[in-house]
Amino acid sequence: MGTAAYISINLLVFFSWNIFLYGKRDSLSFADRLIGAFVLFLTQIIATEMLLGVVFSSLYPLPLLLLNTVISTGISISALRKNSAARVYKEIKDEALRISGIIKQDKILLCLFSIFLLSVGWMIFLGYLFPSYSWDALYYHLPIVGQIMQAGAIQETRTPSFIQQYINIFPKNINLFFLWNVIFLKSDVIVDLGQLVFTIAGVLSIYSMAVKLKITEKYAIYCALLFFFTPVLMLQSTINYVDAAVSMLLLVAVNFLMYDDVESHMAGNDLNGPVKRRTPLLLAGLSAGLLLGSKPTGPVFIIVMLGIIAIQEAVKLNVIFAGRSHLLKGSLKDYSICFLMPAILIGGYWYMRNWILYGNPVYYMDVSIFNIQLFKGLKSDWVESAPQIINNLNYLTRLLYVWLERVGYYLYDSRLSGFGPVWFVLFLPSIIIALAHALIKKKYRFLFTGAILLLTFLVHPRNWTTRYVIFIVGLGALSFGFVFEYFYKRENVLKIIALLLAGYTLLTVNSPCIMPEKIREFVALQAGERTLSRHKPFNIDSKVRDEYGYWIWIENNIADGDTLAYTFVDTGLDTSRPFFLAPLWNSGFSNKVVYAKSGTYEEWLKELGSVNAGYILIRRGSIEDQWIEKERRLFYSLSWMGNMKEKFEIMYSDDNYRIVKYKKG
Amino acid sequence: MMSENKKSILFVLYIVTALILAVIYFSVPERKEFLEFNIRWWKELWQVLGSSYIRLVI
Repeated sequence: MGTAAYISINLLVFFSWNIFLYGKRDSLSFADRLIGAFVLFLTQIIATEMLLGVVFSSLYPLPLLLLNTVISTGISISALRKNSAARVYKEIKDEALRISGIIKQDKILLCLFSIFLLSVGWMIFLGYLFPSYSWDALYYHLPIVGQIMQAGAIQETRTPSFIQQYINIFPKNINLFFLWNVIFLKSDVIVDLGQLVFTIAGVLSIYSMAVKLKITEKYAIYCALLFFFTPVLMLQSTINYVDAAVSMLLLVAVNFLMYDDVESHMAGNDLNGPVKRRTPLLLAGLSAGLLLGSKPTGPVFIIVMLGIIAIQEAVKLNVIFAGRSHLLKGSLKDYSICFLMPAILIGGYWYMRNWILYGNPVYYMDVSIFNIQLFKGLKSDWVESAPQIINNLNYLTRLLYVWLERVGYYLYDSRLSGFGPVWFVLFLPSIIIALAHALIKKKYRFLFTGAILLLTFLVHPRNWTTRYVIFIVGLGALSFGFVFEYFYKRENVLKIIALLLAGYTLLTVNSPCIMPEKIREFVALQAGERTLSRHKPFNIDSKVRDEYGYWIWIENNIADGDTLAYTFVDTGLDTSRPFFLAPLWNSGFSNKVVYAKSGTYEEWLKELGSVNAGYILIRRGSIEDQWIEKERRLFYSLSWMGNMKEKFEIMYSDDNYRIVKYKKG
Repeated sequence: MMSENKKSILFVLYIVTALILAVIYFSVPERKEFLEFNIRWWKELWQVLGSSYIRLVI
């Protein structure tokens, strides 16, 4: 039932927007209508979850399903009045045949496409097989999902530690998409595939951007597929981080902004300009809003985009076509209503909320400019300090260091790895050629795109951590597409090198977190048995061996509706012994997890009662452990009197932790 | 003709640059450890597939 509901609602929402956008085919290409449908699909999901979670505190499966069904049915009915479903289907079929025709004609492209499909299939298999295991997912991305699901509301929760506070203040757009992938299925089995759909959207955006740059379609497909073979992007596609999603959303936004650039203006393509550009601008605004509300660095991306748009408008003022001058007033109006307003509506909520609650829209960050404090926060620097090797290098050499990938293996969080060999060998020199050509020949469209991506990369405070700046590979891919087009008579050499490097990437993008023996073990297990404590992934294993015991107990015993209270938190940000919150929920996130700690035993009991705690997780030797021991000694010494109920029953115990069943009264 | 000659020179320059970058990339000291890990990974996969196939046949 849950699976059927999940599949149906996703198909309904996506295709309703697809049919709707078919009516905009005079202003959007087929590829852009697919990407646009994805943007609208995401926007609808996040908007409905925010409506139910913030306004009505009713973010549960049934209301969410009903609300989205009503909205999408309305859109479908309205769209089908103007566009026939048969024509939409025919267009999809014709485009698929056309593209496959292009691919089949070129053997090397066919190989590249085949290994792309193989990679995507492998990712889906791994995402389905393994539970979510990445550090930040266990620390806060999935706990955000758990806390929203248990409360049925998006609200502040108690913050006994820095990480709990982080859970409250983190912009949650992508986490709401993770929630969408859990709430109907009542299982986290595919939650870690959330970013894969963004990766596909990013690949499609690169193709579309290349076509807009007048790169032949065949080469545009090459760029898009080669962009995919970026190791950190491939690894991020199967974990619950938000970095890949953020970068892909930037590319999607820039793709739509390209509809209203200087070259369109000069070509007189926008004779009906203001009307035709509104749909792409709106889609760019929605993408920008989704990005803004995905990560605390979102404002940096938006400010850069607005800056480059402003420069572009200034350039347009100096360009006159067909005797008409550029109408700045019309542009200001369209950009404000179609781009800025949706961006702020979809992404700004999290910052407004932090501003109201903490007096700082980007809390926890302390924001100062020229030693003048603008917003007070907890830290003025990143939570995780840079490795010494990075501190010893200058701005340029640290980038070269990471791009050389002086690492023993790839990990999903990139660490000190780069963007793979395709970037270093092919894309880097291509960027130089393409940029030089664009500057000389005044290729404004490429310069606009390159300026946004390059400037965002340059101003990003941690651009040496490659997972934060995956979008720059998009510039590399587009530049390589230009190089391909420019040297088309010698394309075979480039194709062979590209295929070899993509193949090498496919063969070496293996992570020590997913080893073949573990794959074999998990294939033989039932779905419910494929747990984190069985997985013992490399990235956390050495730090959580003391935790596996109670994780296993929770996995096997905590049922729907049970409330598990925990009584301790991480001490600061000591990553040598992390306390991951995500494993305190069962795989369907159908139990509740609450923090319960007080100064006295009596207050603690009151608190346990008020949160309806059924089970309590305590540390051995803690004050709670002492209270429980005292209570149990009292019980056993007086139990001969009869009519005594055992308040705390030990359900699990090891050297470090205990889980007790709490019987109130 | 001149333009084609320029393009050819530029192309050769591009390929030579790519080859130099490839040599630099693949010759960092850590590449050996990186390749050893991946060879180990594929060997392990080969063994897993091999033993699974034998079990299937038996």
